[in-house]
Amino acid sequence: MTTRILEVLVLLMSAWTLILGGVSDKMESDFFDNPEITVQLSHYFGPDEPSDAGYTPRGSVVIRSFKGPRFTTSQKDIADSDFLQIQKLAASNGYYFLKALVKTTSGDKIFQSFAHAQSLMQSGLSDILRIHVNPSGEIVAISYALAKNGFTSGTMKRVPHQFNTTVFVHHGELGPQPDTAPYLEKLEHERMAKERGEDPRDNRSFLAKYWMYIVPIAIMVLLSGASTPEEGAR
Amino acid sequence: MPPPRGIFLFLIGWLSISSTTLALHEDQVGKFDWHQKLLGPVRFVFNDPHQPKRLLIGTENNVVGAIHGNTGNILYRQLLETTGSLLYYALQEDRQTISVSIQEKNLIKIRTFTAPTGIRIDEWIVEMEANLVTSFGNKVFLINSKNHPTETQVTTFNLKTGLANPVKKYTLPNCGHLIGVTGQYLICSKGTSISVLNLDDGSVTNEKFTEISEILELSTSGSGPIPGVVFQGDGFIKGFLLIENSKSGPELFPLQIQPSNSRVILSQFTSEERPLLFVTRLENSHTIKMEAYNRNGQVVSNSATLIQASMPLSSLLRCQGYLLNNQYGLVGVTKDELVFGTKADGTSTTTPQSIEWSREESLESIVSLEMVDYPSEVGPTWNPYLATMNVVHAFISRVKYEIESLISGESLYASDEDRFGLRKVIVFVTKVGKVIGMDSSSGSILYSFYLPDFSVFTDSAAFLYLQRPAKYTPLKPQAAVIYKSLSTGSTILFAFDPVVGKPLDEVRKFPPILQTQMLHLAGEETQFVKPILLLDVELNVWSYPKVEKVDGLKESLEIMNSYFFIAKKLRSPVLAGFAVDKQRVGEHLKAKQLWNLDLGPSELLGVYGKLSTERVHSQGRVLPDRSVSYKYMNPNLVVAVTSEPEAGNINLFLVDAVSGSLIHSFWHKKCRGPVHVVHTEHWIVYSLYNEKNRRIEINSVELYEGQSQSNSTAFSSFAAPPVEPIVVKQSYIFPTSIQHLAHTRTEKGITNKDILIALPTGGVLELPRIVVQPRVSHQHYTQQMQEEDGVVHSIPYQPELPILSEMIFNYNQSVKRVHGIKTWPTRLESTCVVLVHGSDLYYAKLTPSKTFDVLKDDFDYWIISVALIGLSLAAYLAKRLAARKQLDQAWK
Repeated sequence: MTTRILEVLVLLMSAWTLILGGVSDKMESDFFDNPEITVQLSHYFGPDEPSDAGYTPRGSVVIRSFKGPRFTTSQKDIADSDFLQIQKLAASNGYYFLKALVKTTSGDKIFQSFAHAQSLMQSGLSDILRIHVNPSGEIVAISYALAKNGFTSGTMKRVPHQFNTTVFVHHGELGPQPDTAPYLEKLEHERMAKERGEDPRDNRSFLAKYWMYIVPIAIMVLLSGASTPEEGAR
Repeated sequence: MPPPRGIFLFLIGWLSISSTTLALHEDQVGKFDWHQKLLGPVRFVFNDPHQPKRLLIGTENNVVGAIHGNTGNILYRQLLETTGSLLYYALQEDRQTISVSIQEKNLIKIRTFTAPTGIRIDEWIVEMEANLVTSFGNKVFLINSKNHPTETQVTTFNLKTGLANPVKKYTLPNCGHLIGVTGQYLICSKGTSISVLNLDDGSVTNEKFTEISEILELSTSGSGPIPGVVFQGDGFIKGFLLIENSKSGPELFPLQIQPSNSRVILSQFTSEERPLLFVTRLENSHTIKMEAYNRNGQVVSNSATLIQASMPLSSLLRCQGYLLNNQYGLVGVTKDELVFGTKADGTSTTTPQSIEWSREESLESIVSLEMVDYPSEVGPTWNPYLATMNVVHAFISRVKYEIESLISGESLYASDEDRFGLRKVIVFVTKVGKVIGMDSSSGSILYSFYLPDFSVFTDSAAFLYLQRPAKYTPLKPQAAVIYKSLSTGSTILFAFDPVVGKPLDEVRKFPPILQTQMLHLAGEETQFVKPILLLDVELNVWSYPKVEKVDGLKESLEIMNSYFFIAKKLRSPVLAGFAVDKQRVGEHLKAKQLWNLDLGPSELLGVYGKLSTERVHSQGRVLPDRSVSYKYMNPNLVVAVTSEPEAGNINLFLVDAVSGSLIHSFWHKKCRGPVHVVHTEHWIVYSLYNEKNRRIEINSVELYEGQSQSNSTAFSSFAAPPVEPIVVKQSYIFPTSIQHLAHTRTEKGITNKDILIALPTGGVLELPRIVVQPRVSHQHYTQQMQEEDGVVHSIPYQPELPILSEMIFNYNQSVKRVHGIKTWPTRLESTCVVLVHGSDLYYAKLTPSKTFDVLKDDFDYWIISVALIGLSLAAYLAKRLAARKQLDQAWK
């Protein structure tokens, strides 16, 4: 239990630093060559099926660089009526829908995502947007998740009327490649060592290596040495 | 000079982990496994004039071969290119056959083979388009009538010179969609008019029948000495022999054929002294009538033969009659790709004859398959599952059962095989809509039935679910096949007993569907039937059996919206997630779309999930420093593979199918498919072709949660904050191309997993996963420390995976054109059964970690019991002696 709380705390702190970082970056925006990317967020929390018209704007996230936490979120406070509606939705175990729209050169891309309204309330409206970027820097997908659990339980805190959004950027990896270079190098080393007639990994002493040859010779020498003085004595 | 120690160590590690000790003696071939060769959809059948029993066969999938007319056994089989299809296969001249197959759109390959052995003699390539082929003497006529039937283009290819003549154009006014070739003639019809063209000299005869209605069907006798044609329509039948008339072109000589409503099929029996023309028709579903005509168009006396079938035959597609020692024989092909034949050994000339053998050639294209335990024939009277209601009852029935089995000497299980669930019934659904049940112990067919109005969904899929296994003995096992209706496009569900092949319920119809899913929710009240949910295109959710009948389904829907679907949307690279909405539990349920994920701009190659019934024994992996790395075991994780053909990229996405969030992605530049994926436990292994390095690569990915586990009891896709897996990966070079990838699975997941790789050579490689497991570098635990500890945690990385012939588990029983590999657990933890299907069927038992829970065949019970008795006797004696000695000493 304690570890859980700790985790949440750590995450909370990291989330805050991220957001603070985002704020402080505002001044640095001129340094980046990349054009800014704006993610338009709209949400839906009605009782029925979500329709395109039913979505209301929630705010936007401006990302200035995918390298590091450089983004700004601007989201208005939720109106009291809307807040009540989300609370009602949470009570009836409904879904909260989020749509993220990204304008790219090849056209608009819309990602529809969701969360349980109840969990959203329990998280104290703190959520995570995970933006997945491919190696060439285009947005592939935007995933939505909640940042914490059990915000309201225990201490019975009041849920704030503002979204506390954290943005994570995930860089898609280039697929793995067979790691041939070190292996070939190793083989080459071994081959060279063989040519030189030594095994680099065999660092035993001379005696340890060749005792099987030395011992018989030594015995023979000893034996022959033992027999000669006798002859001499005769 | 001694080999480097690294390689030596690697080899020792390799040999110790691979199950290569499963050496087989020659007399054991086929003892623990079986192998069946298949031909595929038969389109050409004719007999060898020198050996009438040898029937030469050509199939749609570019396979030529020969079968024995009395037994149906394959004498030889030649697999031509997988990409091509066979246009023509016929006898060419003495002991030679000729095949014409179309390669791509306009690449035609002409080959000649020896008829007795199927060895290829010659091959030519012609670049042109053709849709019909016939041959006469040394000439092959390649006909293109696809675009304009009335303007037929013919290219003559000379087999002697190997040269193609320039294209000739013929204007045939009576050419419609009905068109056929026989010998050197091309016949086509439109309405009631026909045109006959002699392809050899170019003469044309046009004729119009006045007394009949429209011609609906045209069938010819194929290549041979007696060219013939039959026109059929509403209530009439007109058969003709084609005769050459030097003055006025080809002439039609009428044949006296009895009028009949069923389809008439002509076939020629080529023989030097007595060529015959056979007219075959299906009288009723169990009877075939055959009559022979001679060269002059007269019926041969006493040639009328009736052939009785024990199984119902759907309509006849091809037939070949033959004469052997004054007895008529027949080989036929039905629409559902059943090849059957009589036995003409010259001993009995009685009519009706019976069908002696049959081959299910549709097994060549399997759409879906499942395995169910073979129920013991001597079923227990005591059922452990039904008797649980009352303790006293259960006890009494148990005692009764034990007494019964003592008296009768029969145990709960009929045989040794059954005790470990090694004997299965394999249920196949094939592309033509046939359901076939097969006994896994021998490969013999138990039952087969034809699904009327059958067609496959997109991606050539039909779903087969095992709703109730065989272990609830008084209750019958239940399977359900879900397919698309050919006529209406709606969805049909048919429930049947997978052991005997009898229907269990009436056919159910549903609207066109997006996705199906079987829930693992089976209780006593529902008689242990697992419900199937179907999501239709209008997002209605249907359940079979109905929601009200499924114990707990309604309740669990009311408690939480716990059922999720993932579906490919109609627009290609878009995945969408749906949840069953509890609010509208009415006549049927409703689903709500929760998320969508556009993976574009690209093309979706496939979505690979995990088996929902999979069991993983260990939650974590112990690292060399004694700490544990917990596995990321998200049951909702799917792998979506997309390709960008223009850029030449292959992309892999790990998607959580419930929350719709992307977990991770891999991008492969300058790569192309085919991509084969194995996704199980916490790891993924996939293969692709690297165009830059021009090699096949196998990539291995493992997902870990790290040193702590977020939730030890159940994984949640909605965990807040979301669980981020640690991704470990490694890549390997594979020396040959790959036809299919699969993995072994066992009941409890304790046994190691092997990766099964189907190779184009026909072998199936059983590669231990540890060989491709990503090597994790441990900072605090070096290789040297491992050696000091005497523990090898992982074998050293080697970029190229070798193919060791000992690891090919199907030894010399080659499996060609593999379409799929299905593995199934048995009740023995060590053992897994595997079925490889394609142009062959191969079934075997695999033991990835060797048979650790089975006593060896040569286990010496005698010596063990003698040793045990001897030891206890010795202990007793020693005790007595010791006691006496002590007593003696005490007296001193």
